[in-house]
Amino acid sequence: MKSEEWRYGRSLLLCVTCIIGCSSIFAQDSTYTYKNTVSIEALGLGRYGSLEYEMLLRKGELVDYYAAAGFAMVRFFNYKNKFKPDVFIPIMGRAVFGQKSHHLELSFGQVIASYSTFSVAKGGESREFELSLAIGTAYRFHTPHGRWQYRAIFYKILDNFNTKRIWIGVAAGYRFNVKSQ
Amino acid sequence: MIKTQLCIAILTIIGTMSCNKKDVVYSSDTNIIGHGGMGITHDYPINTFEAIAFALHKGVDGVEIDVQMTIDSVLVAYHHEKLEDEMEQTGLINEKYWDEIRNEEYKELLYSGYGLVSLRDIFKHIPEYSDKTFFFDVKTFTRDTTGAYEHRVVRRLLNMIDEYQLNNTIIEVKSEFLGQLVKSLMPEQRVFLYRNIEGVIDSCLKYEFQGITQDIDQYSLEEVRLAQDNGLEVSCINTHSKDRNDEAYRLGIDYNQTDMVNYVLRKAR
Repeated sequence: MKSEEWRYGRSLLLCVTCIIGCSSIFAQDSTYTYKNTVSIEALGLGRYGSLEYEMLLRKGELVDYYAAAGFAMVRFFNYKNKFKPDVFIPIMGRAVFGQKSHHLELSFGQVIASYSTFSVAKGGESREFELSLAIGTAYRFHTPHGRWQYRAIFYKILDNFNTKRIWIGVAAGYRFNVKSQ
Repeated sequence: MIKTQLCIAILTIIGTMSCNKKDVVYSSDTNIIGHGGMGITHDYPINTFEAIAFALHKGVDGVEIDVQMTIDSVLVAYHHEKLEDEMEQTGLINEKYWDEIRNEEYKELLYSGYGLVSLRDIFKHIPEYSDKTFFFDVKTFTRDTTGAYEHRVVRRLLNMIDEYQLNNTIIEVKSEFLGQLVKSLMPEQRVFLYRNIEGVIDSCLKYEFQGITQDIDQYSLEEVRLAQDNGLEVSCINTHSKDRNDEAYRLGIDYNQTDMVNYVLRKAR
């Protein structure tokens, strides 16, 4: 059984992530090209794959800051063969170093997982909600004015704030929404 | 011109490849048994309630469940020898009390909480099972060499089969000793000898076991026919690829303990 303190701690961390994310969105820099990216990630935080939207929040001299949210549905039918998909939503903040084509990316965030399972205690179907902490280090390639972006990511995940996991992902994305500098 | 030639060449190759592929008829004579539920190729871990229930909902003829027992005689569905192979805890199931391990979860899959489950919980909650076949693979990873553990686990299993009125069960054993034990306690219980060595047919006939279980790679058509001609049923394991499942049907295996439930069900339909 997970303690109440853990539950409280996880909720607090989620709130802090959301507040930081929202405040950064409103403080975004409008003088930068290609603020948005839509990408597909194989493996990664969606377990087998996910769709992701990333937004540039702030451009610095050495580092750019991004926020990203993803979506993955890994199993559509539960153990009763009913349409009850498992859904994973990664929410990440990213710091990207390097101003030319090759970049180092550090990311931090959480994955909200909702999946259908069997509960012995309930004697039946149960929907679990879990939060997992994710830290990522990535190599990111995109030319300063290029549309396409590629990333190879190494993740450390604290699954359900309990089990340590190492995971990888590769992503390809399309950058859009140009604003002239 | 070059493009046309290239297209013709590709189509010829594809055509030749599909012609070479022999079509295997997925006959209903072969029972589809989900290995640990949905098999190792599915992302529900084997022996979880979810895997077993999902396989039954999908329409398999039965499922195979690995059986181990705790110190306090709770039968647990678990495949590996050590808990640490799949879970956070370490040690053997037969050295633990059920309360110590009942909240353990399989850790192989990202963001999942599929838990260790007792056989009692499975049969209390799974859907209608009266027409299904259950293979119980009795795992005896014990340091006890007196045979006391085997006695307890077999008694407990037979009691449970009786309690839940499971009509169609097969107990898989790796030794003649265990099989004889089952037969001595319940002569009508079907027993399959699970071994990859020669002479298994003779052993089955000698001890009046009903069938054999082997790796699909170990079978030849002659062996399968010989076993069936001697009144034995034949079951196979390790059918975790399309070719291996095709082979099971080509050989006319009676029970295919498949790791590709979805594929086999699709082909059988």
